[in-house]
Amino acid sequence: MQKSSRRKLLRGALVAAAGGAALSVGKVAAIENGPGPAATTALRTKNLAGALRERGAAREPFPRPAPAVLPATQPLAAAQAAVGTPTSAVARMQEELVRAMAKPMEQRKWAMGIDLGKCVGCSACTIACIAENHLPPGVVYRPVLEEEIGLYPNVTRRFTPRPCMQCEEPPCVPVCPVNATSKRPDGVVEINYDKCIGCRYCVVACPYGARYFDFGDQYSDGTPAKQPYEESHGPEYGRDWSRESVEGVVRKCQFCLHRLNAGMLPACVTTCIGGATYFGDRNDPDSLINELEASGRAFRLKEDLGTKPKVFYLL
Amino acid sequence: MATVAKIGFPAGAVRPSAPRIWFTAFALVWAVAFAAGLVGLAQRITEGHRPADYGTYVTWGLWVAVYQYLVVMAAGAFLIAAAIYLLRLKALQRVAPAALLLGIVSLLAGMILVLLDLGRMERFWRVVLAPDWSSIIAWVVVAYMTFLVVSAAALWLVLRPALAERSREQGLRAGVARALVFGRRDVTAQARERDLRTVRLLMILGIVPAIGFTGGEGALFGVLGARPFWNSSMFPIAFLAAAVVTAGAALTVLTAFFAPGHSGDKHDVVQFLARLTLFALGVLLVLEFAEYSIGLYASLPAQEDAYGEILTGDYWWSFWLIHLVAGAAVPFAILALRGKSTAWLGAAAVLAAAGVFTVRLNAVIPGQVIPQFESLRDAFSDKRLDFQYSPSSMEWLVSLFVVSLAVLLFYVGYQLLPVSGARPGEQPDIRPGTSGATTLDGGQ
Amino acid sequence: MSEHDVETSEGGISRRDFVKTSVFLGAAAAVTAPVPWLLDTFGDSPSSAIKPTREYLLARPENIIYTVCQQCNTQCGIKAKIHDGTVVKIDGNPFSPWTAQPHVPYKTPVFETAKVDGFICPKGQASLQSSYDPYRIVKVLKRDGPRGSNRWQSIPFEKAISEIVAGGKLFAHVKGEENRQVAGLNELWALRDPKVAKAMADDVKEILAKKTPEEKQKAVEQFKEKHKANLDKLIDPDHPDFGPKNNQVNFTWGRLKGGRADFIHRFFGDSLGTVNRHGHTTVCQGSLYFAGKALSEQYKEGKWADGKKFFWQADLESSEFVIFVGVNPFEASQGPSLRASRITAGLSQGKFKYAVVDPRMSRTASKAWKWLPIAPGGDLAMALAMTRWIIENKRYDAKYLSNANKAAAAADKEPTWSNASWLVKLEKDGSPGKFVRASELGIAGKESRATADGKGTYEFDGFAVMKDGKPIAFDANDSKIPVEGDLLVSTEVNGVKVKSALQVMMDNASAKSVDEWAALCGLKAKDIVALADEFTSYGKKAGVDVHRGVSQHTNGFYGCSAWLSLNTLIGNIDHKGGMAGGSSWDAAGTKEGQPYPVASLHPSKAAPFGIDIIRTNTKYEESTIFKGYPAARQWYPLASDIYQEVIPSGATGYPYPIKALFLYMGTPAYSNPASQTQIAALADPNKIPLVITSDIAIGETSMYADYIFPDAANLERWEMAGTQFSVVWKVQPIRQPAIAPPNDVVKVFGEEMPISLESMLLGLAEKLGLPGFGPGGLAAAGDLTRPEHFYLKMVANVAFGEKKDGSEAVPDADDAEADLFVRSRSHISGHSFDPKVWAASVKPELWRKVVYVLNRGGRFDDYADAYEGTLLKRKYGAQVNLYQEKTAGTKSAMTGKAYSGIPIYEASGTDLMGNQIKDDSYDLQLITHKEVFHTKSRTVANPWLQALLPAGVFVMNTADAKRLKLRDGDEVRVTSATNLEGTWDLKNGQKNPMVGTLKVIEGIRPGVVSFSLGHGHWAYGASDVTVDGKTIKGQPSRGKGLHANAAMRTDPTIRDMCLTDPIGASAVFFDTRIRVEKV
Repeated sequence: MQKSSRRKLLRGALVAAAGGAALSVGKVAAIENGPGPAATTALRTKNLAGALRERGAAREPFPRPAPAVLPATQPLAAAQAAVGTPTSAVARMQEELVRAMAKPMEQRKWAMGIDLGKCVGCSACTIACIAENHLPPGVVYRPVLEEEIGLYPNVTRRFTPRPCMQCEEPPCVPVCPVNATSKRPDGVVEINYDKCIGCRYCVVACPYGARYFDFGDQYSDGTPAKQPYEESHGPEYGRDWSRESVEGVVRKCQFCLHRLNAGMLPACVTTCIGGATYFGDRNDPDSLINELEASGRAFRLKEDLGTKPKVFYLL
Repeated sequence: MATVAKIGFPAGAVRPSAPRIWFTAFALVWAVAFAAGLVGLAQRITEGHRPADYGTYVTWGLWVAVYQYLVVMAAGAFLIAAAIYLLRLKALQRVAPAALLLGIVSLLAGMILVLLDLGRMERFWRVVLAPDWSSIIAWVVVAYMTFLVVSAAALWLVLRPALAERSREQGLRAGVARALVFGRRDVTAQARERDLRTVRLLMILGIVPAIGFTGGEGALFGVLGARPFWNSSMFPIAFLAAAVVTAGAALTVLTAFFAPGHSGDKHDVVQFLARLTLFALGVLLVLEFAEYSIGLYASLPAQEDAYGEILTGDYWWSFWLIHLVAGAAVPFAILALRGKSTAWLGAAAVLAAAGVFTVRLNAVIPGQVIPQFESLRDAFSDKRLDFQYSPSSMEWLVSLFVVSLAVLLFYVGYQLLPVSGARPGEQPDIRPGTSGATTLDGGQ
Repeated sequence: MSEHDVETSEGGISRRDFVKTSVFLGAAAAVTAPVPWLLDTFGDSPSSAIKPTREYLLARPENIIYTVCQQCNTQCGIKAKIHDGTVVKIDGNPFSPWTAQPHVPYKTPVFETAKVDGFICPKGQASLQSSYDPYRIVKVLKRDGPRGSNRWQSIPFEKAISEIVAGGKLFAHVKGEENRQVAGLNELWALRDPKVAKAMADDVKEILAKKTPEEKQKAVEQFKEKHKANLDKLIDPDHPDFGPKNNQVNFTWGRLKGGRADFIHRFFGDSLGTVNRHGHTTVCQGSLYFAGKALSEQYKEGKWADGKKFFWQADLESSEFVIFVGVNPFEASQGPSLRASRITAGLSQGKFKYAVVDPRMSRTASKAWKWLPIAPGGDLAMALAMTRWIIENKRYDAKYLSNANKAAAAADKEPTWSNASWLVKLEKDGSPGKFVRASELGIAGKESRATADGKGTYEFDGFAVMKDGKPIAFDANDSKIPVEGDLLVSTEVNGVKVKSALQVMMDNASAKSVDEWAALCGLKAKDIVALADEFTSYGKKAGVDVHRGVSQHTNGFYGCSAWLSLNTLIGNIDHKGGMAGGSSWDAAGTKEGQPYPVASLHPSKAAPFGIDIIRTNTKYEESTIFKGYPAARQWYPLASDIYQEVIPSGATGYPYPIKALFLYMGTPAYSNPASQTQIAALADPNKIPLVITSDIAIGETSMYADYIFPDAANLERWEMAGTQFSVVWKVQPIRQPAIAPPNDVVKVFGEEMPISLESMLLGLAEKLGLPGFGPGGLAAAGDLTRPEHFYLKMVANVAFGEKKDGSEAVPDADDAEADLFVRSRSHISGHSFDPKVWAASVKPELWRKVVYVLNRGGRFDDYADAYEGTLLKRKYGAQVNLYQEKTAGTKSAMTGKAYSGIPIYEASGTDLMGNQIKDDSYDLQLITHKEVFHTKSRTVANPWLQALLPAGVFVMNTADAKRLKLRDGDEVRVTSATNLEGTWDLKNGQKNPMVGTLKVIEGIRPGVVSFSLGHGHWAYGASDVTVDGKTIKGQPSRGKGLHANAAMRTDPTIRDMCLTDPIGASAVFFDTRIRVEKV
């Protein structure tokens, strides 16, 4: 029996109040789909037009009516094409992302590809991830591994970013004693920080070392003052995480689900200066990620373990 | 030592044969350890996990090792008690209640320590109320619960006649006895017989969770494909052997140094326990040898490295000197050369138990010091992302706290309950129909 | 509180309120859900997903401000994302070609780009940690102990301003300085009348032009007589060419771009009238810039002029083959985001390959087609080998090189032309001298022509080429009569021995065989030949890109000239896929018709004159202190911004002492080679009596200052960042405040503002009564009482464009965008952002355009506008010199020998007298490099970057380690011939050992060791400081790692400065031999 189905069976005994969860879904959907008109109206501010008109400005420096609606993200590709700009891979992937997000979660399956031929080992992704997810010291979802290969003068260096592999058969999930971590229908392995008890069994279970325990450290520890960016709340999973709320739990890469919800690619993808990281929906036959995976250059880390990572590499 | 003085031993009770000096010395050491442990506990409560040396790469540290040591000892204690009742080991009758008490206390202590190891202590209840049955931890926790219930019930049944007897007296212990006897004062042979049968049933019942979680502790590591060093079916079995070593050693020490009774009678018990302990140790060593030799011969670098770390790494001395020399060779030598001396046997047990502790550490730590990817070492720097580990002072102090708390609990139980101080005739005989012929404490 | 804030809180719902509301709503949802925790516990099936309850606020356009990074000098566009008034994340600006490929069309509404992030390197992302650095200073600090003691008192801004202006016994509270008199700015601002200054300047010119010492002496006497009423305003009346006392005020900067540069030049040049305003170019790649200047000199009105201090970089957008020589664009070299993106894109599309010449296997080299681990300093020899092979094998673009003037180039549709065919006159010894003039050959006469401004005349004498055996005279800039010349000419014309410039080049390169050159640079001849072959196999879509590795040697000028000239040989400049020179929208308003020519908007502009302290604007032989060779120190007429010279020159008083030194955003005590000499000069208050810095923290250099004014960090201030040479679009990225500085708010000219560089200068101007600042400071354009008055006018220039008719102006921001502009700045307090004040800073019709530009973080050509056919749209479009006549006419002040107009071979590692330094007992050659995670002096304040590389690296080849019995991870000490004990002497009683951890690798040439820059700090939060009697604990982790600059060789002739390229003035980083010993 497969692990996942075994899990399902076991969990079946605990259906108790599953239906109840659905009650809150309605409210949530609004947020997943971006700000509605109400929210936009709330953003309106008064302006200084009056004051400036009195000074005889030729044209009001500031408009009286605020914009009625915030335009939805227009896929960048269209704007680029309009002025003869070639469509970038990022623009294409964002377009695909918007397409995938329009589908029910069960019908999309996220995957990431990292082209080692393009990775320059700069760790921009590492830091983008830290900033994006408000990671404290000692928690790093996407370190970049570096190796030197060869003997002088026939030498080269290889750089391998190591995010969470979002395994199809994640060894970290079944070991959790409290159901705090699971594989979502879209394939992302998530951790519920509200449920995690911090036993760290999943940390030792991960063959990729991709799970991290948040000790509650701060980068400003031992300095004269705490800094505001450290205190600001994190956005993971589209929730509001104060610094305290994620202390003592295990954390990991979740493909920037909060950005996906907003129609944005994961931070490591957009910030990659080598354009080495690709992202998309495996269930979309027209996706770039599928093209790349079938390029014949793809391999996965520790493939022999059978964890079936959804992060692949291109050599 | 106000507690000691106040409780004391009731007039007429059999006086402990252990020299007072042992007790005083031990009490002093305990007091210092407990006080220091409280400091560590305070640090843990106020500063969380920050003062710890474990991090994300070596994420299970000393506490997990000590915790496992304690719960494995609990299982061992229960298994010894079960053996006594089920196999009717007369020689060991007198230690059976102590073994049950030891099991309970040791398991509780282990659970306290693992609770302190949790990142979110306040959510511990989730393991009980919202478990994930695919996790070994969830099953282990169920086993703990079952174990506690079974052990407590068995202990109660075993002690009930003595409690009933004592409940008629005056004083603190009688009060405790009255509270605990729950109105069941029937000490007739039939009642005892009934109890005893229940006890045996409970023993059978309890073996399942005891072996279950001992093996489970081993399996906790064993199932991790992520860690080649741990991914071994040897782990659960080795844990069982270790269970008997540690519990046997604890009971040996207890009997040798602290149990009342004449040295002559005691010696037999001590000798038996010591032999049992060392036999289990022998089994453990054989298993270990099998594992190490296979691991090393397998020539898989990932495994080899972990063994290399144990055998030649920074803590090579803990394996060679503490585990093999002090923890195995010396105890065997003592058994062979000083087998007549209760005190020497006690010492041998102490050494064997200490040796097994390094086995625990060497099970937990080396499995984690080998990076999942070699270049992970330098990829991102932080004290939490270090493949080196040596427990911080807080970790030692908290471990000390938990161990000394366990000692305290055991002592209080030992003193308040008629675990050893039962008078002749109070204890049920382990053979049906021969009530009162032999008491477990062998005090007559 | 600004009016805007008031209105917001009364009227609408502010962004912050909205956040609160939404958080509250989220919370309410959780509370009203039935039995929440139980549900939470039992409710989820394993396959359900965590439900989002909060909107992603960083995707909202009002939480974004586009500005410009300054962690390194690439000046990438950034998108500062703000949450609750705090910048929490920095992404790349999608409008900027630096950080998006292709970048978003400029017209794209900013609402649409809110969810589009550009890319940006880790340094850029971590830069927010420089704003939020616990060791930032927010008040003015005054020294409370000896220099370098790091004891400070915080004093009111006004008091500091008064003291600096008035002077006096400012440090009477410090032991030993009780009676030390400090000259204030009031005294140093001696010559205040621009008319007098102008008259004096003209007369000084006359003095300099006199040929003999006697004539000079006579002219000086006449000068003294004529200006006797004002002689007290001069530094030394006997040497009027030193200029006025005003010159004893020196402003020296590190990183500085437009805007702030204009502000500083306005203060110190246009208002205070000092010539001593110097940058830091030579510590980066001076010899490269000045080689570029020499190669771009134009012959105008009878002299060489208009050489641009710049260089060319490869157009990586379309290039097919590039040789990177001493360049590391994946990690530094104006590279990471901007250039790595293009390189990897080209690689993955299979249309690009490149070679890297570098002793170390850099990240860049790791993806190269070929890595050539050259011996440090061998670059010049390698370039000459390439030159020889290319000319011998006729692999140059003969058609291009034949064009001798503008008209000939135009006929071939070439935007540039070279002097390859021009005839050079040979000296008696056969060495090349000046270009032969037509009159010398008797093929044309001299004529008098009118100057371009129509105000005067000059004598025109044409150059000559040989065409089909006949000499032809021509005008280089003639756009009508095309002249082509033969390329390889060596002949005699009318008794004059001449060679074509290309022939000179060829003969020079043929001094040695390719094998011999190869041996000199430590490479295999076959590799060099393969490289030359490849380089000349892509037409014009190939290039040579040069940087520090070539430049920071004592032969850096020749090395850079030689390498850059390979580009000229294939004629790739201004070609698609060739070499680009960059182009930016003029912010200073110098183009006719631009609304605000800020430099001329001045009520009483000073006329600074005199020899500058680093002797760049005058030839030694022309000065009144010429006394034969060698001079006391070198003179550098072909360079400027000689960073390593400023402090030692000012301290030793050559040519005159500096009395007040301002330092800004640079740290000579840390960054220079052999910078312990800078420390020694700074630490003695009797040498430079007053040192003032503007800094965001107490850095390695500012710790030696007398006063430190807190500055605004990068995210908090203005600058016009300009372009990079490899950017093929016309651009002007604009740095603007994304947050307010945390500094104390002060009142200057009646205006409230946080302390910063600008408020310091405004405060000083107010106290001094300096023209050009305050009410009416911008003449017809109004007041200059706030920084925005100045900077927004510059933005308006950019927005307006460079066409008089306004046809290049950007569109007006529409209502939605104008509203967004205010809302996205609602978190910036009124003293830093007041929409009313801002809008009133420019003409009303320009305001919406300013908003449009600022909403996009600057102005950028669209991606499609890069090329016109096979050419770049934005061109260099002028002459390129193969032979440098101006260089050939300049002498070393140390040896008296003239420089060569063609890069001749000189081994690297010479002193200023030209002697080879031999430190043979030191067995390893020390070089430096940058890791992508750090820049030189500032990134230690960024813990994210520290986590990536906490202590830098010090790398050595396995073979060397084996020989020296060293192992990976060993702690080692570095010593050299000029730092025998291997320490940093901080001159405050503290000596830090120069020790680091060794990393043993394969990827470095044996015999060479390299350390990464940016570590081993002793200030900037690395150690304790005392302020107002209280000790502020440092963070020892900031001090980790090896900083081996103190091991670098000092010049044996002057000893108080590092080795220096005598021509291009580069501070030499790579010519030191060291020993490495285990500690």
